[in-house]
Amino acid sequence: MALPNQQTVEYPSFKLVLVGDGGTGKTTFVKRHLTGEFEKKYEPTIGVEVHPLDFHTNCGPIRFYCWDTAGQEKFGGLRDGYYIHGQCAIIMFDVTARLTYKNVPTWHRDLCRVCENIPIVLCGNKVDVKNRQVKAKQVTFHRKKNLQYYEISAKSNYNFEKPFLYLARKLAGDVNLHFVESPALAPPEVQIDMAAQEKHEAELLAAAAQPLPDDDDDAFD
Amino acid sequence: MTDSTSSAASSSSPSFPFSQPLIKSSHSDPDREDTGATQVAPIIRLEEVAVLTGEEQEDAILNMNAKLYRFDKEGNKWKERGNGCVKLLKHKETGKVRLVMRQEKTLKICANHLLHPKMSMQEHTRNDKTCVWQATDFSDGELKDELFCINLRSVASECFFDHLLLVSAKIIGSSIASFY
Repeated sequence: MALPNQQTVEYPSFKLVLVGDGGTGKTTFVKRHLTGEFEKKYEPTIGVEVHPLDFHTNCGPIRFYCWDTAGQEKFGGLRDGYYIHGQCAIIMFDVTARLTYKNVPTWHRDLCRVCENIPIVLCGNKVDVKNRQVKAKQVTFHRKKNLQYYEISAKSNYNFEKPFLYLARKLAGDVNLHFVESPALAPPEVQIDMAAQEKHEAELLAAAAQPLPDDDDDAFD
Repeated sequence: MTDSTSSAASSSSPSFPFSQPLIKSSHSDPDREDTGATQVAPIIRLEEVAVLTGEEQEDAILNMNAKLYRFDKEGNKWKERGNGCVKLLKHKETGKVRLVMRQEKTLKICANHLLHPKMSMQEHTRNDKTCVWQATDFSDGELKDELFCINLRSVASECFFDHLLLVSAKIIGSSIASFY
């Protein structure tokens, strides 16, 4: 479901509510999907930010309007308006912070009070971190509530596509649905003049001297 | 689903709400009546469609794994853009060559632009396994001036750069006239 000021699309779209304690990585996870970047700096989300996330499947394109909500209550978490008309949800916790898992039932309760019977994925994020506080075996909440659970890492991309794939399959009732290559449209020809060329050269020179993000070592993990 | 973690012994399931340590709680579940709540029904019916990659009229002249960065000009820093398969695709009729890269697993486009003979290109000053270049990119369906940096597995980088140069200088050579 799109916001009034948001571009609508002709293909199926769904409102996805993303909840969980502050600092569990909800915004970083969404940004990772949107632009590929991995943002380390923590800036609490205020209220809610809605991002359209498109995926191409063997059944055509689909879109999740991802409602990335404030995890910290002081920044406006827990507003029913964020949940209303939610068609699917992700509850995120941080496997390196036990309290964030302890709060999962509260998020689930609040969500289900507004959204009955929607597919929900529980995500334990930051599994790339060595010192986990919540081990995989200790995660049991999903079983009694019939949720899907995934261990994910927005940093390493481990399982990062799985929550969306699961939700898409549930929403469409098709276990064989899968992601396919997005069409690579033919780029239009570009005229390059000398002035633009010189500007590009200068920018390139400056950029080539800036360091790359420091996680190069696990680039291909 | 196959990926769910389901190895914990059911006899030790913790109580809810979490008022006790996670590991040791062993008494029965107070919320039992809530279980089995959701076997959710699908809300949409989708038909299988023919999948078009957009590459049907092209041959891949290079295809390798890479990590791609794009330069955030506002923040003056490199940011990760994608991790996946990068291809150089040559059009069967026009001979034009473009670079297309998709993010692994989601298969979304993270780079899509034509290569041309005057493309600005160089090594990253602190990492000789990388290549930096300027492109007018069409990943999002609109043209954007971008600076990219690519980091390739192992020694393949040199091969990639050579290809880029060759492609720029020669293969597209036939269509240079239309550019300049």
